[in-house]
This record gives sequence, structure tokens and C-alpha cells, in this order.
Amino acid sequence: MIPISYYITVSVLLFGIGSAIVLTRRNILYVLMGIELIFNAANINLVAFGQYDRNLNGQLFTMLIITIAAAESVVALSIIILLFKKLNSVDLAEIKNLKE
Amino acid sequence: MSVMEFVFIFFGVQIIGSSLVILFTRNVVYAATALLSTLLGVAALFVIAGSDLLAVVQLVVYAGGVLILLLFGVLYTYRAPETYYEKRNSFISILSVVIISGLLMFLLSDLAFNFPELHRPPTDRFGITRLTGYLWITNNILVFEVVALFLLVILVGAGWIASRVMDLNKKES
Amino acid sequence: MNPELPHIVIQTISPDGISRLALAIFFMPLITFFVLFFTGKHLPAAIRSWLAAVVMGIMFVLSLYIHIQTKSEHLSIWNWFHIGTIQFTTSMLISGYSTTMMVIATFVSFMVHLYSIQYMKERRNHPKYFPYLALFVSSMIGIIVSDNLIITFIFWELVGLSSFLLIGFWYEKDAAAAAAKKAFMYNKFADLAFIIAIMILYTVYGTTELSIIKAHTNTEVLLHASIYSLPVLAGFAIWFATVGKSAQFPLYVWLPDAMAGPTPVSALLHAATMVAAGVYLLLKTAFLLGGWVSNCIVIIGCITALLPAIQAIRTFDSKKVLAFSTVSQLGFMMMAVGVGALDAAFFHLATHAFFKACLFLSVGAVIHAMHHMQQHRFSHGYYDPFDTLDMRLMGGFRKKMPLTFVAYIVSYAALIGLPLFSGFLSKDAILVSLYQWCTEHGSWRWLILASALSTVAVTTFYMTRQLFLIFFGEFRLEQKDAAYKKLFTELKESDWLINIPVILLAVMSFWFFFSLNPLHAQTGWWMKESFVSVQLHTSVWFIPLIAFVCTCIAFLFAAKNYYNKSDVFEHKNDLLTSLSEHNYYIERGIDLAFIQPVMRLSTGMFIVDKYIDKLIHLKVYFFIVLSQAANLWDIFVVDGLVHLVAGISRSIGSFFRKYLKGEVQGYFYFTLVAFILVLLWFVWYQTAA
Repeated sequence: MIPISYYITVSVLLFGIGSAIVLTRRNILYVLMGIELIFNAANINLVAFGQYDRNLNGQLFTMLIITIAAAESVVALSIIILLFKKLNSVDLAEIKNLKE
Repeated sequence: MSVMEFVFIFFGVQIIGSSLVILFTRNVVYAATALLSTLLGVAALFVIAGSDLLAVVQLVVYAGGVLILLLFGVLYTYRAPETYYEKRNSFISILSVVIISGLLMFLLSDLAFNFPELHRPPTDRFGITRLTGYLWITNNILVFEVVALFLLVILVGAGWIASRVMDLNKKES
Repeated sequence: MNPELPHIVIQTISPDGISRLALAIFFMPLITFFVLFFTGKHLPAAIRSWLAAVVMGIMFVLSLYIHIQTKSEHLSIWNWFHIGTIQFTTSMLISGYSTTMMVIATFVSFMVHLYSIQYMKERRNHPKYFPYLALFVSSMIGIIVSDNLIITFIFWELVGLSSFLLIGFWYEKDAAAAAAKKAFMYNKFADLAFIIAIMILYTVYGTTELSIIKAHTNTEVLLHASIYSLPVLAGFAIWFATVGKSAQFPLYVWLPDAMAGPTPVSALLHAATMVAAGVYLLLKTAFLLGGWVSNCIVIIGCITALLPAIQAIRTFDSKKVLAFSTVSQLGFMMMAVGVGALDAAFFHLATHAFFKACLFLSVGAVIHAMHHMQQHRFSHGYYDPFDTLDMRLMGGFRKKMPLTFVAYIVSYAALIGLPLFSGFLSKDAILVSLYQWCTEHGSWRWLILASALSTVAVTTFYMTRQLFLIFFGEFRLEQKDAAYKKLFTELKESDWLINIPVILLAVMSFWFFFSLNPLHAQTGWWMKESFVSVQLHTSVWFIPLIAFVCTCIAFLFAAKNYYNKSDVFEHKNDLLTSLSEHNYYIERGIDLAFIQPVMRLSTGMFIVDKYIDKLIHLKVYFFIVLSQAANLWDIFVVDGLVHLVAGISRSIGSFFRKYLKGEVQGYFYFTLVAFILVLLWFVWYQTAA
């Protein structure tokens, strides 16, 4: 079939791009998207290796990750909305509450 | 190069391209659309990898749930695109992509290119759905239950916090 | 020398009739003591005194009866207690010595009790006087009849206790309290020797029963035994005990001071009985006295006879003169014991008891009269105290108290050893036995004899001096204070309760009670009746003659100096006076030899102790320093390590913190880096494995 290196390549690239989005963009929503991309990269990897497992561990785990990612994005969005109400902006440069 | 490989490459390029769009575009809505494209590509990849259930789950949950949510957020906080003009250095973005990907590739290269020849186990001709469901209920039931509980807690908590904060905000205004 | 205690099984002998009677005589004063001690306060003085006197009278009659009835020795032994298998017994011996001694003791104490009834009437008479006297008499009887050294020791100590209580009877007087303490101390010191003697005898013989010890001792062997022979050492120790009790040199200094007690007490204890107890004990244990011990006894006795006699020449206290005289006569008795003439010693003990008691009581009558005059003056408001004992203030009592004067003359004559009196017989016996001893052994012993003869002369001198000072001449007190002239002319003879004892004792000082031959005692019925064997040596006529000549010379000398002399008030400041007044500096010597070193030692110990305290302080300081160091260690090192660790974490944290300016992406970046590093480690680990 398709050699595993293909899957890994795609996954790695997607991971890299997702990380780059997270690291370099100023809009929170972009960061959220980047996080989703990272999740998906992991999922690809898991599923790719999972196709060789009789117990389908990879696929099951992927399902879990999807679930949790969904929940997480819900929480993140609610936080963003609240932040937006507070600061009236979604610019990451203005969210410096963690700075000492 | 067989048909499958070609299909794979096609969808792979779609994924990468869409994500690059997210990386470089200034329009949030464009980015959201690109995200949709990426998710679709990933779903296709799932099919190629043999887990049809997961592809459907991906589409339903991610594309049909997370994306919508994200879109909602985008539109809720939408301002004129001019305000989002950021002096960004594209070079840094590319560079970070290259570095991170390169590192990871380097680390996983041994695994990737020396993977032993394995054969896919025979699956149901209707896909892995029945098997997955069976496995959830038997082998991995604990995980199933724990995660379900976990999610419940999260969602309830989030809703409650949101309502609290809403009350506070109401008091302020 | 036995390496272990000889195991002796002692046969008990139950007492026969005579012994039971003697026991009764012992218990009578003891019961009197308990009765009067506890109920004396509630009884009137008259009942107290007459009860005691009557008991004494009964005792005298009973002991006279025993004396007449006793023909041989009556020995009784009882079981006392036992420790494991070791048996301790008590015993009682009624023999010639003990019955005679009992008669003497009871007679003199009876006389003294009668005397005390009147004498103590006008003095501070605490209810304890007659109980103490009864205790004393009981203990004295105990010493007399006991044949076990431990029991004797118990009564020895009791006699010492009674003496202490009685000397310090008027304890309000500082002099009396100090004198009582002194007497007790000196006696106690000598009693240590008694205890050592008991220990030695018990070790050697396994018992302290004198009868058994006597049976096991070979006197002839002891006479020539070496210094290391234990029985001889025991004998020496017993003699040393008598040095304290019977006032030998140098421990006699308590006896003159003991005159601070009431005069009847002085008469009974310190003339007749207690001081004679030592001599009596030596008589009973004479078989233990080895060769060198006897010489020791004689030499010390000789010194004891001479030195206090010389002191008496310069003494103005009338009772002190008599005290020195007692010491001197005790020296004579000890000399006799030393040469082996035990019967002569006992004879002198007996005669001395009577005439010395008579002397004390008659002088006491004079003192009583002086005191009466003093009280008369006090009651009229003139408080001018003088020493009622001072002979310089007396004089001329011959005309005012003729009975007393006659009694005094009689006993005086007995003391200085005039023929027709008892003292002559006994002193003659001693001198003759001394002479025998000298001729048998010779050399230095002649000096002893010479010294004894000179003591006789000195005795005459000071006694004549006292006679003239008290009874002849003018009444000198009126020269000091004219008010006394009238009181003196009104002076009468003493009460019959005082006079009867004095007269009776004076009568006992004549010759016929002791021997029908006034000049020699060998044919004396008293001696024969009293003793199982008569050991008096053959008559040597010139010794008594020499003694008589010495006496006459001394008498003339004294008469020249003191008859009708009026300048007795001047205080002669010569060496003799200072030596006499300070008891030849014996007390000073004892102080320097014993007390000062101990005081110095204790001061030294105190200083040493201070240094020890300094050492302890040093140790404490060391520990304080140590704890401070530990504290500092704790603060800087132990806590420091903790702070160090925390500080490292903090610095690492702050190092990384400055790269994160609160940006979310920064955190993500670091997480990514960490993830890659972990992955790197994983891969490296896998490849390494």
C-alpha cells in the first residue's frame, strides 16, 4: 500500500505549519485554527500507524482525540468571547495578563 | 505510481496548501474556509488509510461542529480587515515551518524509512464501524466511560462559568 | 592470730537470788528515772526529791545486804540476740569488786540525794534534776555489774550522757553549757578507743564476755608480749578509754570545767563514782594489760598525779581545787593499776570516794551559805554579783559553820594521808606497791616513786591552802562590800539535810571502817571481807614515814604562806600562774594539732570546690558555645541549603521568565521545544538501546 513515510511526511508538515501559525499570528482565531491543524496532524499519524493494528488502537485513540479537541475548542471559544467582551479585541498582543 | 498513491498525493497537497493559506492570509474568513478545505483533505486521508468511520466522524465533528463554532467566533469578533494589517515577516513563518518540520522529520526518519513491511489485517467489507463499536464496548470500555465523564464535566463547567461571567458582565453594565 | 572469728558457744547461766536482787537494784533507779522524767513537772518539788532519796536509801540497804551475803562470784549469762548463727549474750557478775563498788556508789548517791533536797531548794531546780541523777545511778550500777564489754560500753556512754545533762543542768549559764559540751567531747573521743577494743577482742576471742576472755588469756604471756599482739592492743585501747573517762593526762581538762554544775553533782559524779568507773573497768580487764601498756599507764598516771596538783596551787575557785585534787588522786589509782597492785588501787578508789565526796559537800555547804547571802542582797535590790566559789572572798567560816569545818578537817586529813584516817591506809598501800615495783625492776622507775612522793607534798600544800583560805582568817567579802558584814554575823550552820550527809561521809573517812590497825591495812578486815585474795605486799615501813615527813613539811610551808594572810587578792603574774590557768596549754595544743588542720582543710576544700565550680562553668560555657554554633550551622548551612535549592529554582524560573512576556505563543513555543527535546531523547534512547 502506501508507504508509511508518506503519511509521516504529511503529518509532519501539517504539524510544522500548524505550529508556525500558532507562533506567528496575532489573531486568536488564527491560533485556534493552528491548534486544530496540529490535532489533525496527530490524527493522521495515528490512523496511519493504526491501520496495521488488529485491535484498531490507533483509530480508537483518534476518535478520542477528535472528541476532546471538539470539547476543547468549545471552551476556547467561550474564553475568547469573554475576552472579546472585556477587551473588545482579539489581538494577542493585548492579552498580557499572564505577564508579571 | 499507483492510483492510490496519486490520490494520496492529491489530497496531501490539498492539506498542505490549505494550511499554507491559513498561514499567510490576512482575511480571517478566507482562513476559515481554508481550514475547511484542510479538514476535508484529512478526512480523505483517513479513508485512504482504511478507517472510514473516522473520516465520517472527522467530517461530522470537525467540519460540521468545530468549524461552525470557529466561524461563529470569527463573525462575532469580526472587524474590518484593515485593522488586522500586521507587519508580518513571512520569512519567519517559512523558517519556523522548515525548522520544525525538518526537526521532526529528522527524528522520525528512522521510523519512517525503516518501517518493517506490515500487512493490513483483513477488515469487514463494510468498513471498520462494527469492529470499532465492538471494541469500544469490550476492550476499551474504561477509556470510553472516563472520557465521556470527562467531557461531561468540561462542558457543564464551561457552561456554568460562562453563565457566571455573563452575570458579572450584566452587573457591570 | 586467728584468720577467722572463733566460733564460741556460750552457755547461758540463769541468775540466782543474789543476782536477781542486783538486777532489782539496777532497775529501781531506772524506773525512778522514767517516772520522774515524765511526771516530774506535775509533782511538787518535795515529793520529787524525797521519792528519789528514798529509792536511793532502799538501794543502799539492798546493796549492803548483797555485799554481806556474797561469798563467791555469781555469774549470770543471758541470750541477748542473734544474727544468723552468731550469738550475742549479756552477762552480770556479782563479785567482791562489784558488791563493794555498789555499796560505795549507792551510799554516796544516797548522801548526795539527801544533800540535794536542801541544796537545790534555793536554786533553779528544774524538774529534770532528780530524773537525771536517777539515770546516772542506774547507768553506774549497770557498769558495776555488767560483765559484757558491749553492755558496759552502753552504760559507759549513758554515764557520759548523764554527766553532760547534769553538768549543763543550769544551761542558762554559758560556762555550764560549754563545760558540758567539753566533757562530752573529751569522753567521746576516748570512747572511740573503747569501741576499737571491743572490735579487737571480738575478733580475737569471738565474744565480748569478760569471763570467757579471761579464761582464754594467759596473763604471763601477755606481760612480755610484743607491741603487735592483739590482746595487748585491746588492753591499751581500754586504757585509752579510761584516759577520757577517768581524766588522765592529757584529757583531764574537762574535769575542772565540769565544776560549773551543781555541787552535789560534782560530788557524786566527778569525785566518787563516774571518774572511778574507768579505774573500775581497768581492774576488771587487768588481765589484758601487757608489759609496755602497764608502763604506759604508770607514766601517764604519774604525770596526771603531779601536774594538776601544781595547777591547784594557783587556783582560786574552791571547787576547781577539789577537781584538780580528784584528777591527781585518779593518777595515783592508775599508777597502782599500772604496777599491778589492783587491790591497792581499788582501796584508794573506795576511800577517795568517801573523803572526796565529803570535801565537795562541805565546801558546797560554804558555797551554799555564800549564795544565800548573795540572794539576800539581790532581794534587797543590790545587784552586785560575785563568784560564790571564789576562795578569795571567803574566810573565817570556822567560827560560823563549825560542823562543816570539822567534817572538812576530817576529810582533809584523809586526803593528805594523815595516819588514823582512811586515806593514809590507801595511799600507803599504793606507795608501798610502787616501791615494790621499783625494787623489782629498777632504773627509771625510781623517778616515778620520787614524783609520787612529791605529789603527796604538793597535795598537802594546796589542800592546806584551801583550808586556810576558806575557814581561817577574816571574812574577806566584807572587805569588798561592807554590807555583807552584817549578813556574815547572822550566818548559821546549814540545814540538817545538808549536814547529815556531810557528817556521815566524814565518819567514813576514819580508819576503823577499813582496818582495825590505823597504821596499816594488811590486817584490815574490810580488805579481807571484800576480796577473794589479798595481794598487798609485805610492809615497808619507811615509805609511809617519808610520805608523812613530806606532808608535814608541806603543811608548815603552806601555813607560813596562807595562815591569816590578807594579801590574797593580788594576782601573781608568773609562769606557774599562766600554766595553771591555761591547763598547761593542753587545749591550745589540741586545737593546733587537730582542729586547725581540719579547719584549714575545709577552707582548702572550699577553695578547691570553687575551682571545681569554675570548671563546671567552663563546661557550661563550652556547651553554650556549642549550641550557638549549632544554631548558626542550622541557620546558615541547613537552611542555606534549602534556600539554595529554592534559589536555584527561582533563578532558573526567572531566567526563563524574561523570555515570556505574557504571550501565549511564547508558552507554546517553549512547549514545542520541550516536546522536541523529549522526542530527541526518546530516539536517542531507542538507538542506544
